[in-house]
Amino acid sequence: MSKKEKDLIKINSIIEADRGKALDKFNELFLYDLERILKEYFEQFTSPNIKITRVRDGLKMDISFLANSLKTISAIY
Amino acid sequence: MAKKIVITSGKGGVGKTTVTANLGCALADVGQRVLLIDLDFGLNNLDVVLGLENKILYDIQDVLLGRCRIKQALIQDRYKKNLFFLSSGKVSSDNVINGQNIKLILENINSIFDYIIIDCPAGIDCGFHRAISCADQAIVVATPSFSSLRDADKVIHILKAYKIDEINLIVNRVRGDLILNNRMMYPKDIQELLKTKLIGVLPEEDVVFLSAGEILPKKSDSYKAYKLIANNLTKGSDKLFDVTKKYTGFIGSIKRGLKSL
Repeated sequence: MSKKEKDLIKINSIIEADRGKALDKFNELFLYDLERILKEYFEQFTSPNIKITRVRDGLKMDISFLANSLKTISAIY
Repeated sequence: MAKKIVITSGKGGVGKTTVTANLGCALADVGQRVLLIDLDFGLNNLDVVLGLENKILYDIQDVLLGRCRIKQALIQDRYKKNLFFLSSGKVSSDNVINGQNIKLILENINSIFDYIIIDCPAGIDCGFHRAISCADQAIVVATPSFSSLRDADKVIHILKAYKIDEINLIVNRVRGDLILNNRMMYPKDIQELLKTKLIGVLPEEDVVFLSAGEILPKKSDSYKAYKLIANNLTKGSDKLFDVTKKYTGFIGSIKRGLKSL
């Protein structure tokens, strides 16, 4: 087997093992950005608290803030 | 309406900035109006590769902070009248520099250019996301090495997640002698591996290193390879530079033998 063929087999196995990991990183960054944007928006309210988690169907956002009383919004996107 | 192309790779040191500069020159040579933007904040080198480092008066941050108009920050190339450069400069406030703001700047100059080529920083952190959010096409630069191909594959997946319209591949630093000796992967193999359209093959040549800050000599293989890429982009052709050509035949095999010494 030539060096070229060995290299191809090796890089193929490396890439296959990696697939999916990059998207996880992308999703993490996306969640971080989204949380930051929402935090900026909800800063106009008192005691904003934002938590975004990944759930099976998409993203779950729990947003709570103080208006007349404590309001909580919870939604799945 | 300008086509906005980001040049990216994931891995550093594969030749993104050199490809940005030389592809810009090649597109300008085939009559396109081209703007090159350096979005590699902090480690910006496109100005040096173009030999324009002493001509920068305003940069992208000055435009965003309203210190100058966008046209004042555009620097015309020394050799090509239809090639311009916009510097990232030294960025102190990261808040001003975001994808949305840069996109707004590009919208303002969209009609002046045929191509806007964005030099992306290495890695997949915020600088990378900022650069790709401004583009509608991407060119991934890879070399035939494990680390470069591994990173290129990751980057291609992220670009797909960003719904970039068109993702193309350029394989840089390819050696025809090693390919013929079955010691280097064929660019076509790399295309199959990364499942991305190959639009250019660039040979490993000393002249690229030696002509930094100057234009590539027209007789060089690299110049011819860049011209083919420019034609592939503008005319939709799919011709690739044959890096093995000069190593085939009797004289070619002698060259190959000497190279392996």
